[in-house]
Amino acid sequence: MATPSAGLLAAAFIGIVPGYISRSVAGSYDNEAIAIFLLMITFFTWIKALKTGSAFWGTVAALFYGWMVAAWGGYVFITNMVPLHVFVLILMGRYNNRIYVAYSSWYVLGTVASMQVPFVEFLPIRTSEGMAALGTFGLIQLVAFVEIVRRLVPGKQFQFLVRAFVVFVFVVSFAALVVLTFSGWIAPWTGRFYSLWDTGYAKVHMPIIASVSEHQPTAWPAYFFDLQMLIFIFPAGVFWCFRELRDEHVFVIIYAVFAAYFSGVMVRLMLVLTPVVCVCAAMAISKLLDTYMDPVLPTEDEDDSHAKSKKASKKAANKAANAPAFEFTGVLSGKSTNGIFNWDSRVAVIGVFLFLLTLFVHHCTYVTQSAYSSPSVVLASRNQDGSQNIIDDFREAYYWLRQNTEKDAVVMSWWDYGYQIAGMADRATLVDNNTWNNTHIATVGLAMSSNEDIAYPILRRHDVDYVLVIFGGLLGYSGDDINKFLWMVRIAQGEWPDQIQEPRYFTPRGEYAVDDRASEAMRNSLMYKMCYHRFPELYGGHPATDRVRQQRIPEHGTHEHLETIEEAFTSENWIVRIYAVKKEDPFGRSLKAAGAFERGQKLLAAASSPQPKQPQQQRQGGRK
Amino acid sequence: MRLASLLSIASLLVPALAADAAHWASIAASSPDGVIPLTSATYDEILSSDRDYGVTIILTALPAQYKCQPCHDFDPVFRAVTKSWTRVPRDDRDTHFFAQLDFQDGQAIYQRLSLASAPTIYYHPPLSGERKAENGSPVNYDLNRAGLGLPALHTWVKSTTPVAFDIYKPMNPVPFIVAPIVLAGVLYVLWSARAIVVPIVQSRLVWGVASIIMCLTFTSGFMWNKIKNAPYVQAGQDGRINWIAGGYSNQLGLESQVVGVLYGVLALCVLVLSVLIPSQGSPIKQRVGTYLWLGMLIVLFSLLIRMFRVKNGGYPFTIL
Repeated sequence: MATPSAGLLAAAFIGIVPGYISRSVAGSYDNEAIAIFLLMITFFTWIKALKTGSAFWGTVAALFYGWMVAAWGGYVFITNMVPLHVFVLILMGRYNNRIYVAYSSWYVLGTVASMQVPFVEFLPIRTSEGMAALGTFGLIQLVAFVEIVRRLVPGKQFQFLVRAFVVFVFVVSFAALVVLTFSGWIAPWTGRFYSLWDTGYAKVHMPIIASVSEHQPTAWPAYFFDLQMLIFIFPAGVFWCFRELRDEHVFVIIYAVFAAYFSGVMVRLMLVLTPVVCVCAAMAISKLLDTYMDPVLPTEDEDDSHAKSKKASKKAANKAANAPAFEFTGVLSGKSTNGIFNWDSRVAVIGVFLFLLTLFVHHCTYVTQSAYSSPSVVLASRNQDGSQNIIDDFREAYYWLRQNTEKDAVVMSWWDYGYQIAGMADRATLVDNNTWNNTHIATVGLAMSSNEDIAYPILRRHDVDYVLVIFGGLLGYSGDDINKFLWMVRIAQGEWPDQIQEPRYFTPRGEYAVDDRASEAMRNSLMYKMCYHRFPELYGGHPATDRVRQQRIPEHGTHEHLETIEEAFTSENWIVRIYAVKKEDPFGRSLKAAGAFERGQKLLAAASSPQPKQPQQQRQGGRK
Repeated sequence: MRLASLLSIASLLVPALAADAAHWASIAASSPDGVIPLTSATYDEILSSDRDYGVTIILTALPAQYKCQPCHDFDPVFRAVTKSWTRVPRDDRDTHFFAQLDFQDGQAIYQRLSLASAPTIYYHPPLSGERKAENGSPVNYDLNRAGLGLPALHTWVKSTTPVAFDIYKPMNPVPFIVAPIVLAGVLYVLWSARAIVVPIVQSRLVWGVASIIMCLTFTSGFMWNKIKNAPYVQAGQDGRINWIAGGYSNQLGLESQVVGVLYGVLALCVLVLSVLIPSQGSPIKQRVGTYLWLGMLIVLFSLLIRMFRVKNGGYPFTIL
């Protein structure tokens, strides 16, 4: 596509660019790190297949595509990029046998491979996301057929007929597609992808999408922060693609425009934009450096007037050549270049760009160091004397789970911690960061936001043994579950609007409060109880202040007694709190009655011998 | 007016409750959108404690002197819902009414409810009969949270009415006639001007410029402005006009445009340096051009970094 030096530069860029480092850094716990690699290698093998026209490379691309489908929901980007590329090439009149072989082998094998993934199965032929690929597959068969007919049967009239036939079939199948979509045979675009086009959609219909901060649109500082100078060299690279405009350049251009749009709609998709920015910027910079480093000195024109006249004649010649054709090509037509005469301007340009590249390296180091290096499972804070304070509650709690619970115990938590629990605690979770199953996540939201009477049957039905919540009130860690709680309420409301209503979790004045003013629904919710259970005890009579919300937690209230669950573990800084779900009472009483009975008994016994309860022991064990 | 109140008093005297509902039904039927206009007096009548029908009442202030813009914005939305309700079969329709109390006619009610803002909507569930609600207290539609949109209001109203109903949209035949004509016209113009259109469509320059402009607009935060409805400029604290928003994940319309133009000119600098300068015939011109564009690149880039430092205070690097 471009020179090897551009490739080297692009590799160097992608190696250090913060937009990619943010996901590939060690300790970042997401599948996107591998997904972007797969995206790149699928595109690479696709280009290779297109250039060589070999079914082998098409198969390799299909295999990587299959892997990508298994790894990341963003595979739909490939599913639509490749057909779009082929479609544009056909429109440009660049159809050839290489394209046919590459696309057919990729599509057939890639679709079969993607169907092996349990989540996907028949989605490629039953949803609108897969229709572009299927339609292009049909179109390319048609075009191939017509090409063969054209080669065998001469005659202009007949060729026109054949072309009209192609257009006709295209229109008819498009109409059929529309009809099938409306009649429900083909599912329309899923909300997740629809929200990329209609940007207000998610806010209204899909709280789970809107709840993730990474699904917000991108403001310009984020681009500069993640890509620095590459972001403005990137359009220059697109220019070079247009200037050369071979098949693979068309691909880069389509990729660039779409990725720029997607990254603008969602911060997370910056990840998809980063590779193409690196490639384009590398092309532009290597072109520039090549020009200024080229040791060949151009031959000087004798004198200015001569040059002028020469230019004028050239211009006239150009005009004469261009006028009848009425072409819009301009600078893109590829004028011959002379070269650089002066050593000082060479040194200046190369020097400046070396300086900019050095600055870029420093920028990347700074960004990676300041923003992307701390793994999300270990929090670091600075003390006043500058020393670092490591808060390791997550790992502490996950290890507790790993060592103190049965191997087949099921942990319920909000989905954010699903992968972490699965990976570090090795326990099954109810929901995790794979957010395809909205109903399941809403179930967890329902359990968290309803009272114990409603939540307990849900917990038992799903065989939950432990419930894990993140509580930042003691330390002032603002990313905790109480702050995410409203999203749980909203997502649950989306599925059960008659059981959960968001306004009920606010005070009558519309405040989100956890202190005395907290609404009844809030105070009775499982989440509230689990977070503030025994919290005021910690302050021994002093006002118990939640340091995130700066509100005083009442000493007595719903959080004093838990009936259906009991505290199992609380980490050092109280960030992670784990509760064990009680089994049904052996005497057949309701857990509430049993709890009341127990408390009455304890009150009597407390006078003589204060016996520590089970949860306290375990907590002390956890603190060692 | 007097006749109406006499009528309603008369209907109150009649012990049969159905007559009461029938009375309101006749008023609702005579209004074009099925909305019963209320006054302070009739407000209490329609909310009689033995009502066997539900009532949705909007408290609004439409006359111009109150300058209630949301009231005017919300009125057609409310009426779209009520008009759809009038298309429900009669038996169901007469078990739920929509009424409107204007501030002009019902200041006493406003005072009694201690309402400071309009519009406000309450649903009053039936208090007797077979649909008697367990909790008879009125339900407020939270306009602040739900907004003035039609779908949200429709969903809420639908949850309170005895039967669900759809929004009735009158069929507008104009687009069905105009659209094919316009389409045919455009196609004809394109066909007759194909000598110009075809080169434009096939032109590399047009596509190239379009693609690059799209890349520039998207990477300078255009979608953010569009989605978050960012203001173009903002009035600062001391009355000066701010065009840079404070904060890393915030921006203003003008700000992103300036950034977009900066990106564009910087890209142009790189391109001129690598395309136009080398094709320059004379060494002197080439040298001048090189330094000029290089200087511009450095100055603009340092300007961009300065702007970024305004947004992100801790950023350590500067050029100039």
